[in-house]
Amino acid sequence: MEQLAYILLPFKQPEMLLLVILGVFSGLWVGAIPGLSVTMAASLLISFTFSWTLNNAMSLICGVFVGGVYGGAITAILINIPGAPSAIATGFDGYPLAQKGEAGKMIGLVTTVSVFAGLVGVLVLMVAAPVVANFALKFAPRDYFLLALMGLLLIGSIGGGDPIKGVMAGAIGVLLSMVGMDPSTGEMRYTFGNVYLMAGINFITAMIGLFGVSEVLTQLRDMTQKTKKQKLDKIIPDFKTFKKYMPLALRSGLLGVWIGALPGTGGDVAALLAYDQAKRSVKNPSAPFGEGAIEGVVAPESANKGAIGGAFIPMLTLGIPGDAVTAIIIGALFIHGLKPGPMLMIETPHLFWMIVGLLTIGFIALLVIGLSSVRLFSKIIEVPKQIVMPVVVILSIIGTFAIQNSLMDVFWMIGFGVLGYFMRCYGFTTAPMVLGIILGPLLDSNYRRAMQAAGDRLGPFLIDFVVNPLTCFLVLCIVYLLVSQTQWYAKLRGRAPKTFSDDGAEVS
Amino acid sequence: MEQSKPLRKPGELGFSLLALLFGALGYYFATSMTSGELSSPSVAPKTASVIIMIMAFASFLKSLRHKAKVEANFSTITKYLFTRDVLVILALLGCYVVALPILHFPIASFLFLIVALVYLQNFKRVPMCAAIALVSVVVLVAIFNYIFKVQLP
Repeated sequence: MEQLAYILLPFKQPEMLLLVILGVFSGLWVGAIPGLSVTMAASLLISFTFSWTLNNAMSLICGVFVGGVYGGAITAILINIPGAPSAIATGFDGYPLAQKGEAGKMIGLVTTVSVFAGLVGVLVLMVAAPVVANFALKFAPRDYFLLALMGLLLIGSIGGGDPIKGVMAGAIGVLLSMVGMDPSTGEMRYTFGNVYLMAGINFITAMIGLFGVSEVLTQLRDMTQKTKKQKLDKIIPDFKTFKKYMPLALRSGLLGVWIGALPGTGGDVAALLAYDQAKRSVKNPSAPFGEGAIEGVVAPESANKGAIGGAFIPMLTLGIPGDAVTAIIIGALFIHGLKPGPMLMIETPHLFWMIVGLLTIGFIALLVIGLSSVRLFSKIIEVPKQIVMPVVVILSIIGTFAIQNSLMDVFWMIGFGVLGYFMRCYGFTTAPMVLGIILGPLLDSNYRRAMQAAGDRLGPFLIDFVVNPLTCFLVLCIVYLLVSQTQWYAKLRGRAPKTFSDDGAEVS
Repeated sequence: MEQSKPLRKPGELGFSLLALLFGALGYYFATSMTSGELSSPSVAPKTASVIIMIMAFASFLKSLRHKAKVEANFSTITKYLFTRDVLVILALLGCYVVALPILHFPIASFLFLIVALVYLQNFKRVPMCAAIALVSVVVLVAIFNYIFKVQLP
């Protein structure tokens, strides 16, 4: 009963309620702009909420977290430029759907499944936090290495069809992620004595360039394509539609909770993995994946919302942040005199239950705000691209500059934009390169730690993969991922083997 | 139904060769990093470089099998990659980032927007373009500078 009272506390306090709603609303717009991240918004909030009460500060931060993760999907669906890394996978099918005039319907469905998956994440946080946290702690470096490898195998799903070009782009991304100071030894890699390169290439900069500027240039290349009139009826999905996608949203949401609970990974990895599992498991999608499959939007959006609840699990139970935003929240807790760690739940149980209540309000507010904004969002896509594209360029520059107030980042972003444009001209997709830049450091650092743990010998390193049940399970998952991409497996499942055109498009 | 054979785009072979060169350079510079052990800092860069080289070579061979769309020379490649609109916006973008530290965000952005909008509207509706540019800059500065407290270039 005492716990229920703590959960209901934000519902009873109008001030907290309003702050969560305000947070969701502003987070939604921050998340929708490429470069402006939830992490940045949360850090800014700390600076002006430190004099507030803890309850009010947490209300605003939790609201921004929920709204920000959702906002990333809006621009991914409308203009094929993800507002945040966790929305990269959303654009693969969301944008083709918007081009068919289905943007309103899609954003409506995304809002509904997002709220559902987000509440699943909160429920898991409520009932199973200590169990999930202990499970997450069992992950050794070799398991993180396998997880990153699993992520890179998604290139088969997101590479645009041609595996050669997909793998090449992914490997270029991994190589670019190596630029800078090696975090383990302090050795410089590919810096050529340049001080700026020591910090490495920021993956948000690369993402904005590869998705934003390259999209603008690609659109400018073909100005004959007219903007599509959006259908704005039935933007709120009926129960039948919701019921149809609920199992997938539940599966993806739970995957998101699990990935989100792993320190160092977050909504971006969760969304990509969920997209891949949807592509493999959904037998009759509404359209082929990559060409406007509704399932291709539902899965990543459910996973990144599930990851919100997941990210709080290790933070609240062990004091270990699940992602960058929860790392900042830990900072906020320190500022307010609390000591995040294993004793946090014992010494201040009200905080845990209050956050559960705040996240619940956040998702309910998201449902109302998201659905009521669908018409406005859908109208953006109807603005002629001669007007939208120059504004997108300015937004990309603001977003890139805001990362670390550096014009050098802006130059990098434009460089990535031009590279992405060339890649698109020659039938490459840019997503594998971004995936490589995101997962490269996770892969490299955990491989090396696992190898060092095995005494730098290949034999013990490989034995570790067989004798540990968790590692063994992950190895089997990777084997399955590899086998399921072969034509032999496709024949076995009774599916037509895939062939690819020169542009990398799938040909039946 | 038989699929028509895909055609090679102008510069496609060159792009594969550039990727091959990129991989080779990546490997070359990785040789100067600490090596010798399986957990050395050079392992991942070398592996990635080798994968790039193999894939670039495979892509080169694949493209070679296709018939060329048009004869590849400097003129056809630049014509294929840079349409007039792309070239103009890229040039404007270059001028914009150079002007940013000198003119600062509001003026530089206004100038970029008005020129880009007028150009993309085929030099028609100039007052409308000026109004859109002005309103966009005012709204962007208000939102980012005053609401989100984001520093503008």
